[in-house]
Amino acid sequence: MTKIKILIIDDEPPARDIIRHYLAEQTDIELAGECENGFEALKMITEIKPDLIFLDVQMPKITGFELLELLPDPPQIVFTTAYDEFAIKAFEMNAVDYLLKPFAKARLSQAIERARQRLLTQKIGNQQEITELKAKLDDTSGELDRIVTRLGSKIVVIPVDKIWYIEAQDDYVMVYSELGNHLKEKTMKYFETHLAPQGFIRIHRSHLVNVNQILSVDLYGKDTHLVSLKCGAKLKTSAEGYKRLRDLL
Amino acid sequence: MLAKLSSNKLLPVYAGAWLVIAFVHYTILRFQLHINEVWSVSEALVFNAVFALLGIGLWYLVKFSDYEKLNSQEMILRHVTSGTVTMLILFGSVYLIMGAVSGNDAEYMALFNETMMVKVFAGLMLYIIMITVFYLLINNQNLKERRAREAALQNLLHESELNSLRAQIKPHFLFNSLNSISSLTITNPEKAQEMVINLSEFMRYSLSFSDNKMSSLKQELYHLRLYLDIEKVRFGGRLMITESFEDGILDWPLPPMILQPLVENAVKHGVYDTPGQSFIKIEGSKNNGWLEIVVSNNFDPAMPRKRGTGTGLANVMKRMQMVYGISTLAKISKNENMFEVKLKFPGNDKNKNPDH
Repeated sequence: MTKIKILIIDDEPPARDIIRHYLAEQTDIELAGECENGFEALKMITEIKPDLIFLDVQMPKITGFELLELLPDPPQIVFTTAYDEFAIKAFEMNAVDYLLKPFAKARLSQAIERARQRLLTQKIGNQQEITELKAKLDDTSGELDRIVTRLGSKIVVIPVDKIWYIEAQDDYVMVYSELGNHLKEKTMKYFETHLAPQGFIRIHRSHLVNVNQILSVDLYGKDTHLVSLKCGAKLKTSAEGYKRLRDLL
Repeated sequence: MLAKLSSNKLLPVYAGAWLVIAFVHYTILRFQLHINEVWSVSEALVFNAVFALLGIGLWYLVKFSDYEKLNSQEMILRHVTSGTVTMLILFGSVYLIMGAVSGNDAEYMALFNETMMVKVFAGLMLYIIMITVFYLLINNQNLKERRAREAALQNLLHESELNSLRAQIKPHFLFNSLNSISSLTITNPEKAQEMVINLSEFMRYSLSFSDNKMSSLKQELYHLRLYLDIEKVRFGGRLMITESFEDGILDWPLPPMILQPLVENAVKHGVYDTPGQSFIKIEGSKNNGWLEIVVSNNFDPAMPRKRGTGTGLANVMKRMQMVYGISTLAKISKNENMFEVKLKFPGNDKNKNPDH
């Protein structure tokens, strides 16, 4: 069979060293590279298309979870982390395994074995798995404090308070912000729930607005109001959206 | 304040008591001294109404007099004075009002003067009873308030103990360090041993600290370097530390583990969050008899600040306030990409240092 192509992603050199050492004794694998942050990782994953990544959760700039959001076709994942607060989220993301640092060589072998099984059976139904995975991700609760998007190989981290509004566009949403306009493959429903605590309100089926950006709300027609934002955009409300807005303000 | 009296349901009881006294007063005038109905009622009402009003004044005199701080001599002097003043006002105003009410009727006024001694005696007795009751009530109230305050203080203490415990045991730091050690046992066993020793020494110091004992800058720096050495192993060349200290300040007394959270915070927002290199600067200098310690770090301004941070710094502020009782000893400043915390420590004359 073909060798499993592996990428190690961790910002601490000793943490990469030990995985490399453990892997040296494995057969049928190929260590294709190492990265020390999400930026490098995104580039490497796109270029060398590994079968399996060892992924640290807490890294500078973007977390391991945020990195996965940026990958349309993610490889198999083994999370490696020092603290188990992320375990549930990791398995929701369909991770092959979740290694708590420090871990033994045998534990790593076990993870690779699981990945091998997955890779063998993966050929069928992979696409479906990914769709399910993404749907599950949308359900994960918790507030957002930033949105990570990519422009080609460039990663953009948008703090939530810099967002003006979000617009529905087919299977994507367009995020309008101080840092420019960025597409993100998520549902409006996802942002509506996760940004509600940060003061975002759904004023229309296709618009989610940062309340702090609202300049004025004017009557526009029967049952319609026009929301003017500081950035200059003018967005119509639906009757229901206006009610939500009025309740909040 | 009256609202407080009435909300305590004390005011109706107070008024009730005076009505009873007024009734007794009336009965004596009417049936023992055989004074006519109008004058008996008037005198009983006027006398006791004035007394009741004066009593309200006495209540606040007792309540806000800080009587716990007075010695018995001052206490007696105070009450002889206020008792005399009360009697003078009472009898003066009753005399004038009753004079007016009775049209200065000679018979009534003579009787009033005849019974003056008895009235003054009864007035003084009432005064003493009233003041005693007031003391009992106020004492009881103060006791309740004090208990509530003590309970709140206990809670606060407990909370800060918990926080400092949490501050000591950072699972991320501990497990990542252990992972580095695990790695070094293969790649560099000598270095692994060194790190185990550093980690143990650091943990021992952070577990044993208490706010009662002062440490010194020398000791603090020693343990700070243990911590930074461990982080340097984890992050390699990405973590850059510079230190500069003025001569002759190493024995300065410091609360133990007071600098640790500042440096930890700098590491967290520097190297944990910045790809590439991150710098931390630690400086110490003497300034007008105070020791100034400044810890600064660069950070990536594009990063939104994570929620749930700042508890370490808040704890430092709280501890500085608790140890020195001054709230202005810590200063945080921030510009485009530098974050800086400055702490000021008073010298030996203001603080005993049992460790040295």
